Amino acid sequence: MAQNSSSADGFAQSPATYQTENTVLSILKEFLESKVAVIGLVLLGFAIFLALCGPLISPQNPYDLSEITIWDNKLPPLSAATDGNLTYYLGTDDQGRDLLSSIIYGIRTSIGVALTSTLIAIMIGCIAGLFAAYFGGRIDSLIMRAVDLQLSFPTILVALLLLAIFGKGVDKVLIALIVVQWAFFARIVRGTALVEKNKEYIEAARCLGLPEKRIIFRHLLPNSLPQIIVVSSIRVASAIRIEATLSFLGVGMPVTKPSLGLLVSNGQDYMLSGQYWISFFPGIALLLLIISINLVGDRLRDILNPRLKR
Amino acid sequence: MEKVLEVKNLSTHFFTRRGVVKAVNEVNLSLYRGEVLGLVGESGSGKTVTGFSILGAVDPPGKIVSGEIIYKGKDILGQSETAWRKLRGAGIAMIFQDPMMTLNPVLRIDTQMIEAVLAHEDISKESARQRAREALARVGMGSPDERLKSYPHQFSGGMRQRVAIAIALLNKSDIIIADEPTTALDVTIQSQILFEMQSLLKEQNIALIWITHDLTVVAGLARRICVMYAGMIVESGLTSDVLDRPLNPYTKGLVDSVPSKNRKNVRLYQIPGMTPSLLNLPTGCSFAPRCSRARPRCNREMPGETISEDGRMVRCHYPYK
Repeated sequence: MAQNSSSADGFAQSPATYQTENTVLSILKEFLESKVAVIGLVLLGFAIFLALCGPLISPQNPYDLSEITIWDNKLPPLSAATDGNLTYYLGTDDQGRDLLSSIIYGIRTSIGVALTSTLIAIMIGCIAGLFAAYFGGRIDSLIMRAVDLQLSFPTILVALLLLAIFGKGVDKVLIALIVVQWAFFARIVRGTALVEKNKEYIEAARCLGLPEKRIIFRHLLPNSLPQIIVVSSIRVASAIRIEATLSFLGVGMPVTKPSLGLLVSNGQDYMLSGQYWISFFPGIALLLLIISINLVGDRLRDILNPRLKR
Repeated sequence: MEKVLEVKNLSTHFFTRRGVVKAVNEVNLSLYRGEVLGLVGESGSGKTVTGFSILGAVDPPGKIVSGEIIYKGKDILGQSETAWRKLRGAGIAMIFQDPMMTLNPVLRIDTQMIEAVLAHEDISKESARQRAREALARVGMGSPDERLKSYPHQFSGGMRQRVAIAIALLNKSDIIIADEPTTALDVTIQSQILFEMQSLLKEQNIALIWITHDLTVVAGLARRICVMYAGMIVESGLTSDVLDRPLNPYTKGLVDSVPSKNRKNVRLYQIPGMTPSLLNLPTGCSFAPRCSRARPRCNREMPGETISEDGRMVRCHYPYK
């Protein structure tokens, strides 16, 4: 209501003179006002860079048996390799792998698994939430009771159970993470879609005779997305956490594709015998990764959620 | 004149937890090609629900409990949801009250207009865009090409309502139901839109049901009007007859409540009391508790539809003469 009707019908103004409020640039500007968030963004950017170009920049491929030597096992940080052309900045593990390289590969795995599972969970959650909100009635009850059931069990318990049934493997971890996450998104999407559904533009679209599929996906979905975008960043962090926990407990990623959690788990036998670095550095990497995502996600939420704006 | 729409004995009730809300009761109305019918009443008198019923767009817990809606000689009430979908926006289009809300904020105008065309016709995107362009030009939008690429928030209220009207015109509907389309606009824009609507209707021979609470708007626009009270049509007839010599006490009260620029310092008339709750309507005439002419019979019996000498329908035991 605010902007209408003062200049008779706005005919004099050309569309170009209007300014959109939430441009990408203004969001970025506001984002950078918080120092903590900038630190988070730099860290996260670095982690994503490592994940993307890991194999190109890591000192060795820790899973290529021809590149590692068992003689170099459990070397402390900064020691030189026996064949002399490599320095193990963060030490080596019990198999003689360079920990720095392992961490780089581990970040790649962790981020990859978390992102993929969250994206698929968002898709499933969106569809479930939109259908529940749009059709209401029995479909709504059915979907939302499934969501309630899902959310009434602790996430880690459900994931553990699933993996105990399925066994190890990347695909199984992905499925477990999707199963434990979709319900969050379904609930959020349903909430926002219910509000949007009762707005007049949806009624208008229906009175235009648009197909329901189109109303749901072209009209309802884009208007329900902002909430999801904000929540999803935090959910990626929790997916990384859950996956790390599972791997640490030995039911997650296979040994051939270790994530940060598995690296921590590998070193825990040696913690008390003085070789702290095998668990310590992957742990620190995991910590920084989750913190950085949370910092960025919190800041995004503050900016994009007008209710939290001061 | 050809009758495009006839509504017979339409009743729409809402089955809520607190009871049955009788929003529309035994409404009869007919609409001829190219005419404007004013549907007048206070808020909550069932005007909008009548409009939605004609479109088959009443959501649960609401339900059309009885009646017939005859569109082009065919009763459309029992038809399938697919048939309704084909009718909405193509045969009967709707324009809503608040132009700020009727357009999807995240989609461009062209997207929304093109999809409205493609929902009903299997033509190329390019020709759909062409049709959208023409529709915008027809409702008096300057530089339609540029406007097509804009988002709703770049428009003022009046322009958005023009877009909404353009969308209603896209598929050459026979009937447009306009639900208080100028209520949210200021008077200068309102008159522009009214003028535009009048010429468009004449040009395209579209029948219009104009739902409003504003008698002055209807007086200039509609050929016939129906006055609604508590879900019923209490009087209908030619606009000039109804407004000049109202038969029903409620219509008279409504006409007297309109401020006039010729009477200064005279206190406005107001109808005493409040509109009854549609949850438990009185057994007799719903207007009886507020009516100055009410007699015991009014509280007992619901007045039926009677036709006056000049061919008007009135629901009242003791109408004015």
